Amino acid sequence: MTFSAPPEAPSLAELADPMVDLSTTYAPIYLQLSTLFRRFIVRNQWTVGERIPNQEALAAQFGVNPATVRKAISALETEGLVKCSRRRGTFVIAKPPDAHWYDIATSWSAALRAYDGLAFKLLDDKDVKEIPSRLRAAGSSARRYRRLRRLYRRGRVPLIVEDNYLDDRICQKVDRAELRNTPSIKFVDRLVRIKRADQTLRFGIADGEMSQLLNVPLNAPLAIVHLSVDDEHSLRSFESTAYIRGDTIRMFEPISFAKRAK
Amino acid sequence: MKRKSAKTAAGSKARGQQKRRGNGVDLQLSNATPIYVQLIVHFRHQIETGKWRQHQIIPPLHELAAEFGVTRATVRQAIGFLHREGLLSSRRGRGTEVIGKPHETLWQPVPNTWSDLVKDSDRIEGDVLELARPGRLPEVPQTERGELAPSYHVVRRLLRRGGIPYLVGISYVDRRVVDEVGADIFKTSSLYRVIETSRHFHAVRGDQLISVGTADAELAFLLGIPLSSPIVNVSRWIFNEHDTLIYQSEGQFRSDFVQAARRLR
Repeated sequence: MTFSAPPEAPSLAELADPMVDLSTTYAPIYLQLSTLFRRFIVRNQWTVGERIPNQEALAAQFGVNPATVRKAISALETEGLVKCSRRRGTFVIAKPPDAHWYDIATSWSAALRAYDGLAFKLLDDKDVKEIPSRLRAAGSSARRYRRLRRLYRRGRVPLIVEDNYLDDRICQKVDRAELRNTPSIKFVDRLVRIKRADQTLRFGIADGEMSQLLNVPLNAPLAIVHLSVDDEHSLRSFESTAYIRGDTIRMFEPISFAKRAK
Repeated sequence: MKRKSAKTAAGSKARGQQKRRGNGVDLQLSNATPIYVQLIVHFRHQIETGKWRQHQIIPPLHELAAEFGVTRATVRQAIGFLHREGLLSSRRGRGTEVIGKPHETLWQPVPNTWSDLVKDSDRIEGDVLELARPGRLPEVPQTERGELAPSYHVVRRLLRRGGIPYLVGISYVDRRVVDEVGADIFKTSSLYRVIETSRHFHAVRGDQLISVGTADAELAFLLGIPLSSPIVNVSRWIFNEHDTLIYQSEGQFRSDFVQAARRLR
């Protein structure tokens, strides 16, 4: 590893009070500001019970119009995080509620339970010749796959859009209604002699379609979980891509230590 | 499916048309991966496989834009990324030339074994933002069993890969480890390597937590990304055989190239 002394590295004091260039993104400035202010509250930079800087000072700090700051603050007031009073200023009255976490599986048994407790709606069900963007695999493909797309909800909140492709010969062994009403991975576990199963977690942003299905803003963070299963003949039996609301996910796992030679 | 908003429906339609125009090209990572990332992956692949040879002039922006059905600005964004990576070079009047081959994968792995953490961290480059005086203590989740060390050495760093900043991390290292190996080692070794070097303190167990957030002003500034871009948070807690927390880190990655690959069976 090489460390160069950063010639133009900002000092901590500068970083604590950065000149924010609000023009580098296309989101409305008041939304960027309210995101930032919410973050101040989450991180206790603005603590509950404390009065925040007045709107003129904030406007000067971020180089925006005081009306824009007012709009950002009023968004936080609607959320019940701050209270504005004309005489006393604006006070932080609450932190945003903790999200309900959705845990990304780190084992096969957890992957099997990934959709337990969630309501779902079938969005698509059709036969296809091949998996469109097959994940890298050494083995071969099945002749036909059944493609299923489901939208999973927790309570009334849309959480996951899952596209999966299941070897058609496995589908033949299952009652049609059962196939439609059960997360496909359960059949894989029951009916496939698994040689290997691989999962990759990546991150993306919601495009028009995903933002609509998951009811999140355009460009909101998404977690993307790819899962692929090969059978004993190294044939790709199953592939699944789950697009999950990013703000609710977490993946907790132990770091493995090889036995230390003494 | 009920159309919630005319605006997002229109966005979806536009994106769909783009995909169709880019038909026949392997540009289908997933519809949630930003287009410029898909382009970077595709262009790197062209260079890796020699379809774009060294010193070849690649097709002009407007042709690439037309081929993939995207705007020129999107192609420019992807090409700009490969400039900084040292794979392409543009000169006015000459076009864009291939000048290098990618030497590592685009994806930034999040390992889950100690040996990979130590090995991977030897390859990183970066700046120390602050070799801090210990301020606050690390925050340990209640699920972790163990005790804090008497004091910690705090290191805050901006790390780069291929010249591109990708991670801002703050790490807490048991002060006794630092006293043993000397603070100078931080300038030449990775933090995991520092702990491996210690003779008295052995890392024996640990956990990590991956979650997603968005870039606040400071982070956006340091990583050179727009405010509110997705950020991947990775926290790690490492204990020794006496259940003392000898290391903790909180890393904030730009999210577009992070991947955590795990074999489940």
